[in-house]
Amino acid sequence: MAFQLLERRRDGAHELAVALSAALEDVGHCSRCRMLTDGDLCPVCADPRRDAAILCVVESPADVVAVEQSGGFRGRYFVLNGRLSPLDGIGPEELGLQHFEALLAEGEVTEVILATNATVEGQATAHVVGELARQHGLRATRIAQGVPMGGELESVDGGTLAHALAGRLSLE
Amino acid sequence: MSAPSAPVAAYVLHLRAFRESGAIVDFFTRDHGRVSVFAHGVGPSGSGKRPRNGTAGLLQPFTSLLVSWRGAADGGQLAVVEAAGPPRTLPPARLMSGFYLNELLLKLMARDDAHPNVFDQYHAALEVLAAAVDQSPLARRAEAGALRRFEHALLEALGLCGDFSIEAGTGEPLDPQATYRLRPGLGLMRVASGVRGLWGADLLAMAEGRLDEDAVLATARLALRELLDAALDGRPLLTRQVARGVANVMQSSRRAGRDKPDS
Repeated sequence: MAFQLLERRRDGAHELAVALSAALEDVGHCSRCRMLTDGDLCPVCADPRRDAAILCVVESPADVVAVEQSGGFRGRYFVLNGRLSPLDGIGPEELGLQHFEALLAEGEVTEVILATNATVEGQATAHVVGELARQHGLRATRIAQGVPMGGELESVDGGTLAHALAGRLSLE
Repeated sequence: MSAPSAPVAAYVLHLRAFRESGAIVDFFTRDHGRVSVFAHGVGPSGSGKRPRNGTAGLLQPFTSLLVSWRGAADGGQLAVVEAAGPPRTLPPARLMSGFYLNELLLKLMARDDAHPNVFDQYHAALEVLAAAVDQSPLARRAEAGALRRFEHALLEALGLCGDFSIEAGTGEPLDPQATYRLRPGLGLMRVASGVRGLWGADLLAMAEGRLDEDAVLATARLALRELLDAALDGRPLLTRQVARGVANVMQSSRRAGRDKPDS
């Protein structure tokens, strides 16, 4: 990409440089949910039509974009910007859990959805965040884990299949 | 490229992102001790394309694996990973203990130095943690016992653990009624009666592997911690710090919950 820009697209390279430096300058974190934004509040937190009672906790801003693209969620988010990783020394402070607590203490949230990754560290993160939510008397839920859309059972790995079986649902 | 090594029993200790879509994986293997190899296409979130065969799903801590690699045990390339049994998941409340075991291995085990007994004790500890699903005193005791047994086995393998049944210097068996102080590298020294120390009866129980009573567990914790701290030589255990951070945030949250005007 560097060669392409320098040899053939110098104007494009300039645009890119300006855009990047503007992003570095202006983009910070939402004061409410810690999502990347160029304002004080991100568009989701600033939107009065979003349901403030449901809070979806994710590891990264990219996860917010992924959930938004699914189109099925109307609540708000909290972005940890990381995951609990004890071996790397990443704990509650790095994940902004005090900020998270302050958000819960405002009293608007009734359900916390734990949408951290399906890794061991993601589970550890979900456990701690979930415990905090329960201590505030809130409902804590974890996103389901299982067979992907269009996925065939024989190509799904054993760990995922075991989770899918453990989390099976009754046919209505 | 060289042929891959024969598959060996292993656990993932830690995974670090490396370049665009790779990771450096620290394994604890039964036959080669700690092994650190490069794995393609399994990098943590947001990094490139993932393999379809579920390798990323398998390369998680606490899962019993069979692995082989090409090249050196330090810096080689991961060749094959497969599950060595049904998937094991630790109960969420036991994950911190699991991470703690991993950190001890990462900090205290040299690379490519096989300790099959420590591997077997690690495996046994994970089995106990996996079975300790609730927060009952029984489950907590089982958890503490598993951690102490593993610490003991690790220190013994490293040659850093003396005999917990005799007094240093004299070589006399411990007096169950006396108290002792542990000096890393030297052993147990008797302290004057009335001075705080490790209770002889508890130390004897620990030496025999009877780790089921709370008092013995507490003594074992103090004694082994003393030895571990000496072995770590001032390097902090990050899992301990994070566990403390988690406990603090939970406590302050409980307090905040109590102080709510209407609860």
